[in-house]
Amino acid sequence: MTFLRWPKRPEDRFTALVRPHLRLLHRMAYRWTQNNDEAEDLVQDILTRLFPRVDELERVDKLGPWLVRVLYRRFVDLYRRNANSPIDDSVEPSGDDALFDERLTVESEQLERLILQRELNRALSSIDSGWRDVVLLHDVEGYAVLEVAEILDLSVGTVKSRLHRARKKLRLALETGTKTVAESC
Amino acid sequence: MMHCRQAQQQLEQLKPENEPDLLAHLRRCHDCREYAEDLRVARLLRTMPAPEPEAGFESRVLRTAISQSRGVPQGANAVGWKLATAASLLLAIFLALPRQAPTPAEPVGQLAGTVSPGVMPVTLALKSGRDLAGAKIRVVMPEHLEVDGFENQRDLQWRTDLKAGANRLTLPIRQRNDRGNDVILIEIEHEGARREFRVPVPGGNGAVLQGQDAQGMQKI
Repeated sequence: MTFLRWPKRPEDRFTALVRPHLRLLHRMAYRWTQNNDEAEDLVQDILTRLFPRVDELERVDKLGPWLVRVLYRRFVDLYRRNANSPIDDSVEPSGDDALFDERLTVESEQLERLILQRELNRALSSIDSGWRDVVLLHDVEGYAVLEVAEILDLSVGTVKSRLHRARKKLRLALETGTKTVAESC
Repeated sequence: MMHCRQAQQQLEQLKPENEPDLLAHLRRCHDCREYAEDLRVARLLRTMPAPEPEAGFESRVLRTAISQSRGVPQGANAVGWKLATAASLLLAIFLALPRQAPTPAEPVGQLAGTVSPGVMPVTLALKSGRDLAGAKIRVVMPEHLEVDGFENQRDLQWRTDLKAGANRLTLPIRQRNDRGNDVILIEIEHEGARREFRVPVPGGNGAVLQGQDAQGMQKI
């Protein structure tokens, strides 16, 4: 005798697929928006759009990078193109200093590293967004160059050259920032 | 004498203290110094912190996304609109109240005229990233305050052109009673995009809130 199973409900299939990736999506959304609340809104926004596409999601080979790619495109639509809003065309989120300031008070043993990371985060906010995206995915999140190229829809060569330039710029900014910190003390 | 390859291997090992040989090599080798700096930046980037999402994040976003996707067809657009607006409006409001006796206010916009006795001019600076022609300004006064000349009218709306940079708006405020602290609601709307600011103002006689930066007010 064969027991026929009820098909799984779409919400259960959707949840099983995306739930393991939600923290990654939140982290990436935060890295781009530099704001915890907006990161959650951004993740929720793409989930709302993806739920009707659960069949398509089930066919995706590597869902994590695929979801990051969807998230990135939505971020660009909302924050960089601003098609809905004529008020300001290109607003890039500034570095979230509050996150570092909060930790600086409780993690004194990590003080030097946190100060440098805060400088680095500020420097990241100041560089060209195309360079920043590459650094965030490759150097911060550890994606391979090929994966970065796929997520950002760039050639491997472009990813490499942007990485090289961005690192140079970041190093320079870090040296300047460190000098400024030292002088102020 | 240490070679570059050995030096770079040692640098990669992340020892708490570098050996004298390595330090001597770094002093004379520009390439290895560059390599060491690159490594330092890479390590800092790899450990860059990010906050954890709020408790219940997974369940909350899934539940909301599924219900919006099914029941409320406008949901996705509403969230998108909210995000786009939050990202695009670069308006900041700074509030300044006089510390002592009120000084005559500059007439600004359609609201401020000659300031009469007992009226406290409250100056708001609306900083805009660019010119906003025909922006709608809405001011909703708390119960214990009113705009001079607009008695019993708490909700005021008008259109004006905001220029790029700071736009000063002085509201001649009159206190109706000594009720506690409250907020003035300022809403700026331009071609469908909107942002809301809540400016805290103290109640009571002569309470002062000078030059308070009222940024960080609720976003819509």
